[in-house]
Amino acid sequence: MSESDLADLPATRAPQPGFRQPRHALWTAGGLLLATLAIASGYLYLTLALPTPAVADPLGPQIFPMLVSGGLFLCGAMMGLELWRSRIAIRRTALPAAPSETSFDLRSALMVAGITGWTALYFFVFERVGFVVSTIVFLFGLMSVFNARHPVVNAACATGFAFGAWLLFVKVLSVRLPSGILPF
Amino acid sequence: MQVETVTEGRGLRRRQCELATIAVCASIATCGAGGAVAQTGFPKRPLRLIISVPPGGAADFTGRVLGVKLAEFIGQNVVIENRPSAGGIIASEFVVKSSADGHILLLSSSTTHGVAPVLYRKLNYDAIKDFTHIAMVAVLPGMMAIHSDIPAKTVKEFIALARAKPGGFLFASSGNGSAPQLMGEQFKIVTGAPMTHVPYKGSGPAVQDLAGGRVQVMFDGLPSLIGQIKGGRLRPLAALADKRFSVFPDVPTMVEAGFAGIEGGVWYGVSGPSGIPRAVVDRLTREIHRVIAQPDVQERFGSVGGIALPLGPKEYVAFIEKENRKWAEVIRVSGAVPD
Amino acid sequence: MEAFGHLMHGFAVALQPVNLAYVFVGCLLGTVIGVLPGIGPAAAIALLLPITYGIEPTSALIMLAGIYYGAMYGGSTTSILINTPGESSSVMTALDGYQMARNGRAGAALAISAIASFIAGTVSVVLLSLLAVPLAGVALKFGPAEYFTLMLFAMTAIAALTGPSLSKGLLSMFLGLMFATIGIDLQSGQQRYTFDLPELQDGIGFIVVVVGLFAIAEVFCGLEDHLKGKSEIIRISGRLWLTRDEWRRSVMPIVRGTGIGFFKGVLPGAGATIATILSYSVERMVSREPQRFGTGMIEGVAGPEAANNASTGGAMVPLLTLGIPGSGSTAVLLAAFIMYGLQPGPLLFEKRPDLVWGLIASMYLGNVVLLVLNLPLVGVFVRLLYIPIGLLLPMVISISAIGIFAVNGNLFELYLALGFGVIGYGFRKLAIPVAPLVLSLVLGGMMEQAFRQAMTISGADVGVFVRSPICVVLLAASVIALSIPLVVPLFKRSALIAAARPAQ
Repeated sequence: MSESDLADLPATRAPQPGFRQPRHALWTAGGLLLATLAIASGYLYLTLALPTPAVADPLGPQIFPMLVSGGLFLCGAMMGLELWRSRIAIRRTALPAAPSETSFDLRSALMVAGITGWTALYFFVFERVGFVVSTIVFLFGLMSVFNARHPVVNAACATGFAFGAWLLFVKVLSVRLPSGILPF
Repeated sequence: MQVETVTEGRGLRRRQCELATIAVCASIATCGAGGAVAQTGFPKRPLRLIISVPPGGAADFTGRVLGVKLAEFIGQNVVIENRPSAGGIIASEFVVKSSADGHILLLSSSTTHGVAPVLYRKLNYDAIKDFTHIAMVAVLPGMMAIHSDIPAKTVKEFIALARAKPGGFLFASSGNGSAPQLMGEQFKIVTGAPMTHVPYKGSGPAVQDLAGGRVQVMFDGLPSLIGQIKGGRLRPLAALADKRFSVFPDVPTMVEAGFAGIEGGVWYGVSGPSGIPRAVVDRLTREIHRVIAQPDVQERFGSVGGIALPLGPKEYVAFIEKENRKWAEVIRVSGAVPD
Repeated sequence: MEAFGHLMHGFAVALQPVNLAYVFVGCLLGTVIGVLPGIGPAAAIALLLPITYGIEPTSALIMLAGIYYGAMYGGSTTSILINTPGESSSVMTALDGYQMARNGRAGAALAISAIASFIAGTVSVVLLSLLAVPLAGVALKFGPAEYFTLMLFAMTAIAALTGPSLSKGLLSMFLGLMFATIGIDLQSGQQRYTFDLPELQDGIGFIVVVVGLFAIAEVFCGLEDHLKGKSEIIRISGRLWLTRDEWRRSVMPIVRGTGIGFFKGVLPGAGATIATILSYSVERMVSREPQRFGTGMIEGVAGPEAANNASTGGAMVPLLTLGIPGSGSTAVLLAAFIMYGLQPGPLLFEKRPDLVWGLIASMYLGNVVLLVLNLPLVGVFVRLLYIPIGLLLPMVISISAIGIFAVNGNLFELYLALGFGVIGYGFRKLAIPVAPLVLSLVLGGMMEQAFRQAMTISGADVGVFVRSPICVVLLAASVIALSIPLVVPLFKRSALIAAARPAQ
């Protein structure tokens, strides 16, 4: 039986069956398990806190959410099971280490945090400063990081896109975009 | 390479300077222009009419008809903005926080000001005090329609049948807190007929199940029901208004059918944030009433079962307060919605 | 054959130069605005409605029909090229379409999307002309119990998308269901998990989730790869057009997709999205290689695209015959009808046949126009992929922002989309499939409400779900669909073991 056939089997074994799980993948899986349990508990707590209305349908608003939180706990249990099996597998097999797809990379995390923060700022000033200005600044900022050696192209692109989009959507299609500090 | 970069950098800086200068000059120009026009009176720029439902709803239709004509009379464009949310809360909050110069207006309705203030107790605004209520525009009375398989030709026969059936009849509504639900609850309270409420997401699915016979009765405006009535699947029993519908002259009003106190429907008016100058309010009220007196506007309202109702600021406020009291009572007695 | 005569008359109306112009303009505008992530046919019609004021009613409605179709086409383009579904009905296209693009077959994906849409759209308009009146009553046979079983069947599609790790697939699904419960509960009026935010009272908009999980997460991943130097520039391999094999494999999915799409469209209620889910599910059920779905199977693009467009024709049936809108887009069309003083319903066909058949005829024309517009554009769109990543991806964020903001003008939704973007990025890093979350979000809420409505109507009698023949059929189909992924591997395993034995 080849590896692809193994993949066809009902997937109750750990992912990447042909490889031993690297150590940090265990930590990631463990973290995910904890996160799942946290979400499930939080959701259950909020569900139980829902008041039961006086007049409602036979089932009421709580039943379905309780089923869902039950499902979330079930996922947690399944993850726990998979985690346990992986740990056993690590000790038993002498297979090579898996290519680290789920490796934690500080640089990537910082980058994502940075983009998120910058985009949140963009949204924050979107209405105040207006579409055109905020878009130009936003785009230029990102492009300067990811297309670093071409500031002119970046500026031209950012400005061109902002004005082009404004022309197309506000003027031609009369879609409402905030004008902010600009007079149009 | 280095020379190139330096030139690019300088060119970029220059371009940025140009852009900045243009922006600054433009802003100064606008302020100056604004100041000058302020002397000549209202309106100085296009009006914005905020509508609390997505495009296509009856409120949207009414607002647009109003807006187009108002723009003609008032000399400035009226731009429609849809800011939908449950109970129109987002639209209302936006208008409450806007500057009170009369340029930003809300299409207030039975949803936003009739029902929402009593349905949602934790609103961030006061429906009467935080607004300047300018004018009432139109009323869309409700109608009671039943599935045509039910052998009742009058309201009284219907109630008798409901009492005879174990569990009573089912009435559909377009959602929790919606006008159809409240009118149905009102009917229940006044007539004592046993009915169970089945909410749907919007009028469309509700009418669909009504026409399919899964629910038996619905209280809604003409536009949603008229297609099926004319097609024969539904039968109109009564109009929830003080006058009969012109499209259905044979259908009695609730009062004629023997029950007073069952009146309802959807209504629309125009409101702004509190503190709009008196002169501006008067001008707006006058123009809005002029608009709804136009025959073509009345005809367009009529096509959706609406009747123009020109009330002024004080009368509108009184109307709203009356509606609040009425629906608060219905909600309290029926225990319809918890909050 | 009275219908045929009417249709010819309708063509006479539609082929007038002014109406032809309106069809063209409508298609063009619709495509342009449909390309925006987050703007689908409903939003496109709503946004462009003001442009049609002042135009004569028949022409205005013809233009709106053009916009409707155009927006459907536009949404597919971004799904395939940048994994950014324009609207909920393009999500299934993105699943395999984007993978096809990554495999270098972007041109083929775009082409089959246009062609499948054209064929399905045309056929569905034919079916509409012939079957509109007879099918009028079908929509009325579907009540909450039937809808519940239909959604249940659609949910089984999720079993197809869980991927190798069952627990992660289920996690994704339950998270989707969890998000679906946020908002005001329809049956009781009770606010659930809204934390007193008015923006959450209507629940989390599906578009916001789709844009966040697909477009924005894609940007994060793309920029991360770019920073690491792992930039994969998607090159076009082979011909831009379809190979013979791809053609052959697409025929039956298109046929099936058209049928599924049209008949689902006839049923009011989220027609297009569910039609695509059903089509994808069916394609996977009948395929010989179900496990390869999600890696770039052309059947997974042809079927849903056909279903998508067929459902627009189907959705016109309840709209024109009953005056009941089948989906968000038809609801706005209904409003447009009313605004022009027309009342869709049983009498519209009798009183205004010129309008109805003119509209139907221009839907035909709309399909042709879009094919003519889009096929040559395939080459142009594909060139867009060559824009440097550092320029393209930031613009994608901005386009997404425009798309979301244009609809409701609500800043909160932008932040929500960003949040889902982070979640989507996390999912990708943790190998959690995104599709189950998206599907559960769409279907979960409707399923819960339909179930409870059915219970209210039947008076807490669970038997209502097996009473009507429609329900029984759908329940049986759900059971079959669920057991296929579990049963087939068992068969294959025993076959493989049997094959391996003689070798030993």
